[in-house]
Amino acid sequence: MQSIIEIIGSTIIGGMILLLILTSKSNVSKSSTSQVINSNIQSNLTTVTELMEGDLKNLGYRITDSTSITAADSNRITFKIVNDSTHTTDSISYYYTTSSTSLFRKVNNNTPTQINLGITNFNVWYYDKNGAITSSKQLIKSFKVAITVQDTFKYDGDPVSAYWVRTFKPQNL
Amino acid sequence: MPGKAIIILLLGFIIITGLVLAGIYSVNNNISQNMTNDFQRKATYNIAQSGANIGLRQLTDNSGYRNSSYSVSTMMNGKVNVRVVDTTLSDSSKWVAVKSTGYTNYGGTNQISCISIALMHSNSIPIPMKGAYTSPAGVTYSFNGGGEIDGRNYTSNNTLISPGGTGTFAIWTKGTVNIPGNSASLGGTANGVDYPLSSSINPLIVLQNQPIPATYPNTPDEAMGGSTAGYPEGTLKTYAKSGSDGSQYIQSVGGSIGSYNSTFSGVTFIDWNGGNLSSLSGSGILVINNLSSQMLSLQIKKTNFSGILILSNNTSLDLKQGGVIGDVIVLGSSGVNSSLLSDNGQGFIHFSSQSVLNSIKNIVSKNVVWYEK
Repeated sequence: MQSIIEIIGSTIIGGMILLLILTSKSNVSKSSTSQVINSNIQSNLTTVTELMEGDLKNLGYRITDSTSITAADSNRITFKIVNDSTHTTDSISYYYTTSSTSLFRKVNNNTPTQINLGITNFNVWYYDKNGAITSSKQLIKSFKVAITVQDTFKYDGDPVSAYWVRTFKPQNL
Repeated sequence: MPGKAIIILLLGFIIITGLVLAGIYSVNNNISQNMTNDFQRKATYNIAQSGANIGLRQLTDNSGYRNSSYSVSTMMNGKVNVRVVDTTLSDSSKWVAVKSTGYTNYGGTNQISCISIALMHSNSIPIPMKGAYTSPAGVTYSFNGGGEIDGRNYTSNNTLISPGGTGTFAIWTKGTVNIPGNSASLGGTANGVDYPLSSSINPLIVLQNQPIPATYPNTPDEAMGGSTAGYPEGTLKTYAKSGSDGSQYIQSVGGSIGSYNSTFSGVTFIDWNGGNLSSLSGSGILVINNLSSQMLSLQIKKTNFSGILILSNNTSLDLKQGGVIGDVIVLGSSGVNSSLLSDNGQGFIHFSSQSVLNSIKNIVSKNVVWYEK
């Protein structure tokens, strides 16, 4: 009788420990997977922003004042830069299309390059010298870019996303 | 379940959890590193820009400031190397470049660098000015007094600079030069050698019958070197209208000139179509644009003008007792075929690079463009 009670007791305790182990493992695995996804989207985000910053900080280089930005919509910005190596004026566009849910970079009339890094939202707001929102290309002195990057893989039913926003004040504007 | 089995199970759990936690730590480390790198890049960019601004400030205080070697400073937990040099871009435009390289974790394995370049148009003698007096075809020169046209380099106070060799030709023209009598004199610099004033015409410093290049300036802004030198069309007139540094835009209305400050400064742009102009005096850039079909007669009596004098064609410049310290250029506008330089007294044109640079330093230095990588 004594040994039966011991066996039942140890089975219950063992079962509880097993349950605890399995629950913990599940949580740890979830956390681990979530962190990997976070790491991926952060990496994607910094890649996109680095690419954009490289172009945007030279916006208007050697271009006549007030003519640097040629298109200024909420999901498109087009600007000019003089390319010293080719001695030409390049027109660079960044635009987002909801149909393909992709950001594109286009230089002059070349085929646009799709930036396929899980961007689900791209918005630009434009400001004049007083910091007021403006739609006039000639008056733009700064602009704010917001990007949302989302992982294509939904974990546990929830997509993991990251939001980035930055105000640019190009020296040449 | 025997106690031994539980211990084994627990050990297995600890090992598995440890491995998973190590994986999480590694991923966390990647995320942190990614953020740190991003922050570090921004910090490096800020350091580089600050360095460029310091270089620009130095240039603002002293337009002659050039430091061809790098100067290294510590800034915002990083380092910055700043270099200020004259440079020529692929389109032959001349600039003063402030190149600033910012570093974070300088010398470390994860060092990040960023370059910020601020370019300003170089304050140099405009290329179209080939002599103390430069003029296209159809120019008649008359030296009836004891005046001087000297291409040797003078200070803005009209003192000949010694040692010499830094001046220019006395006259550069497609026309010919005649000196009636022998009282007037011409001097200049050719190939780094100064030639003193002489009443004989030295072909080394008086260049006659010169072919006019296709790029010969037809507008005042082109005379300053055009857009590649920082003078897109309309720059001088716009600056004159702004009133900066005492600038004036003067226009004949109904055949007469209204009141104006006759001691010029900054940029003075005169659209002349009748009316009397007083003796030229003052400093800066003076543009006299003859819009009429009549010859415009300008006089410099007892006063001096220091800087750049740009004359449209069909203009007569009569030097009496005063003169120009700087440079004179006649534009090559089409449709007009004569211009007259006469020296009927003790007047002079003395080339002065100092006066020329003084006249343009406040205009072009405001055009700063930035490039970063």
